[in-house]
Amino acid sequence: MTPEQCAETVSAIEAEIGRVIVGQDRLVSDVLLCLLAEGHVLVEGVPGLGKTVMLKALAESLDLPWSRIQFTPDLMPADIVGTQILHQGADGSRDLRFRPGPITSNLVLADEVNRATPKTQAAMLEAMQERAVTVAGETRPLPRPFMVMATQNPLEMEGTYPLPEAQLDRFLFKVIVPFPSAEDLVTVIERTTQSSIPTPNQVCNGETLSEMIALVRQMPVPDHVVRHAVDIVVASHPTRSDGPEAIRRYVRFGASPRGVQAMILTAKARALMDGRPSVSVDDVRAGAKPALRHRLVVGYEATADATTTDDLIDTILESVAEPASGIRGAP
Amino acid sequence: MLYAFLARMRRRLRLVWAWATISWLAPAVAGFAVGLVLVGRLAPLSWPEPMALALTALSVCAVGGWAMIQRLPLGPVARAADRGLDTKDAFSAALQFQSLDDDFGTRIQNRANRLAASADPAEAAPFTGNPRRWGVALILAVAAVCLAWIPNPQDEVISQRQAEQEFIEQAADDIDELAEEFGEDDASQALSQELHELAEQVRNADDLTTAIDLIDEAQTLLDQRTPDNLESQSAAIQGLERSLDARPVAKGDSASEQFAEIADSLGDLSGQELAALSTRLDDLAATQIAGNPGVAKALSEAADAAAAGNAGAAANALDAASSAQAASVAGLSGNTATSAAANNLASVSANLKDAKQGEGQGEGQGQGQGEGQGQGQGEGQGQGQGQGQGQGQGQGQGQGQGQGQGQGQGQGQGQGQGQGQPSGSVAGAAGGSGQGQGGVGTPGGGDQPKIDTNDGLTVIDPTSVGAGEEIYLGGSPTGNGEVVGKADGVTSISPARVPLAELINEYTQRATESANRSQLPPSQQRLVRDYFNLLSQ
Repeated sequence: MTPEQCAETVSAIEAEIGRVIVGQDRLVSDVLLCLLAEGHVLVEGVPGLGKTVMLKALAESLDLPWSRIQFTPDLMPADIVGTQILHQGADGSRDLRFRPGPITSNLVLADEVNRATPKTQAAMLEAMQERAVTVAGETRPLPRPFMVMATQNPLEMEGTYPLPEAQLDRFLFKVIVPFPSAEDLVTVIERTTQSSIPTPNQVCNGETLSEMIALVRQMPVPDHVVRHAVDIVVASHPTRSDGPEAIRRYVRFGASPRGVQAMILTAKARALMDGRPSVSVDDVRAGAKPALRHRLVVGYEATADATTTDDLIDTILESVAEPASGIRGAP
Repeated sequence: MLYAFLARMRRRLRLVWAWATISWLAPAVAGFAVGLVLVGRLAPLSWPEPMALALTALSVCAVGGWAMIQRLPLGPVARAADRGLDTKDAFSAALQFQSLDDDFGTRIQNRANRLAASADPAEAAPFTGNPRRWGVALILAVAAVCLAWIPNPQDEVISQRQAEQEFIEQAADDIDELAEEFGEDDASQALSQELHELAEQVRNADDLTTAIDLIDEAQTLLDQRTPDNLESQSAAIQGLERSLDARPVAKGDSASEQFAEIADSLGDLSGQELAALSTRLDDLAATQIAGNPGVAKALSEAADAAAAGNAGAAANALDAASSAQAASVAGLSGNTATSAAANNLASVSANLKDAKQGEGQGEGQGQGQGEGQGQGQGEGQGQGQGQGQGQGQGQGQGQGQGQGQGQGQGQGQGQGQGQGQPSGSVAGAAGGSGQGQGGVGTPGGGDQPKIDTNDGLTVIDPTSVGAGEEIYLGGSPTGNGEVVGKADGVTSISPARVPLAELINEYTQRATESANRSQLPPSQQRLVRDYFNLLSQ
């Protein structure tokens, strides 16, 4: 697998998903980035924007098994990770056998993850982090590649259990799904109200995907790119006296080191998706918002002033200039 | 391919750096240049405009030089190329991973080389500049050029100062030349050294006034060191030498030697010879009273002793006269040199004053002619000067009138010296400025001009009189500038008589030299020469 082949494959996957999902190119791109970086993605958007369809189309194009978990307040951890059930054999013998939960799948859609109780959320997030489940004292690895796409509804917050920051940190990206434009909405209506709904074709399989994931890990990153990612994360902390005023005013806690990891990994994946063998500063900056927006803990002043984390990340990117040559008159 | 491109990129960045730096500096340099040119318009300074030009050239040269020699590592160069060409850090990554030998390393190098093959450094690093800064710099530069182009009112002041400096330099050279004219004795060498130091001070003078003050001060000091009766002293000493040279009293090349010789041989003289010697010594003593009193006293004592037949006392007195004469001759040399130096300094000072006056009048307008006329007894000179380029001359008291576009105005200045006549009438002097100072009248010997039948015509040394009464007459201007003073003072026969025949040649020579050296008009110089020629006849 070469970067050029990887780029072609990803482009084909995007094209197949695009046959089903309209107007969510950014969402598809970010989800594919997380898939190549072998991370999990938190998707925030109102219902009906095609999140489930998108994951289903992704699974079909990759020929990977997928599952969907609708989180509700009465959902139990065993409903996710699986449980042991009593099995009676033909000879009348009985034993306990493990019955895998829906988490045991390559692609998992955790729908409205904030509606489950913290206990259930913790079980889910532990599986995401460890890529394994432990039931009855026995740890069972989850299949690879493995990606969870969790969704949140930003409107109906009543009866929900917002994810704590420590658990949010385990998502590689947080993607905001915008409402489609009128033109895209027309196309959606045209496609979904016909007798035949288009289905994506298989582009590759899990093995190919695993090769691409390995390629992402192998890709070298120039020092100045890493340094730039670190500078961005450092600039998100309000404790820096020379940091931007907005950061010191609105941010309570800056991004964790996982933020740097997220930016670098997704930058590598982005370069690969572009067919390039090396990472650039632009790749890092392009992934700053989805990688950091759920990692910044803002205070009530930001809410009062209607300042979003995206605004703050813009401020950070403005304050951390791209590494220049330092030669007068030169770029 | 990559490194060749980076080398071209580095050269391009040197130019870009120079351009950007000049763009950044241009308003400041242009502003400073305008400031310097304005300074040159407000003050009579000659360096602001050249300095403005030099500053501009120096700034450009410094920027260009630094652009050539400054170190530009490949890392920043590659980064500039990446940013300029939007190559997604291809060149920077290739530089960092040039030793990476896996598949990614190869692909990174290949990609960088492929991009470098089609990359243009000019596209990567275009010349950029802040238009506002360039606009400001352009406006300031045009202002500086326009200011430098229009006539500078300070140029005339500068040229005047240069002319002043030339006058000062000339005066200093004159003083140096004067210093070289003195003899080898200690007094002359010391005086020469003083004059050289004065010349150096004059050279360092800021303006004409200072130089004139320095010279006048030095002249005053020299005048103070010159005995008041230098002329009579000189006349007495040299007259004694000439008299004894013409009619020696003993063997010897000088009066001092003759006195010493006769002192040694007094014992061999007869009584008649002693009497004759006494008479001769008495006569000689009479000529030395005013200018050489020590010798006069010794000779008088010797004459008295010889008349009394006391050869021993006469010998002692003659020895004293010999010593005194030798000392007088030696002192006369130094005093004469000092006096000559003072006179020459006066001449140099007068030249500078004339230059200064002409310079001041040169600032006048138009052209003018001035003419001064005047008459006065004695000697006088006057100058009439008109504003502008005009200059007039006159004698005695006079007035000049300017003609032409300017205003002419003449001024006459005269100096006169009266000479006492036996009749007691003294001719005064008329100053051209309208005030005359009468000469010093020396009482004469009677109602008629005193003519010594033995020695022929005698002249009176005015400063050598021992008795009598000095009469000062203040001159007053008359309508035609003539001033005549008369005095009927008490007169008496002055012993300061010197045979004219002994002095006339020297007088003529010195008067001619003095007239030629001074600023006298030619007509006055001719008058002096004619006067002494008449006396010689």
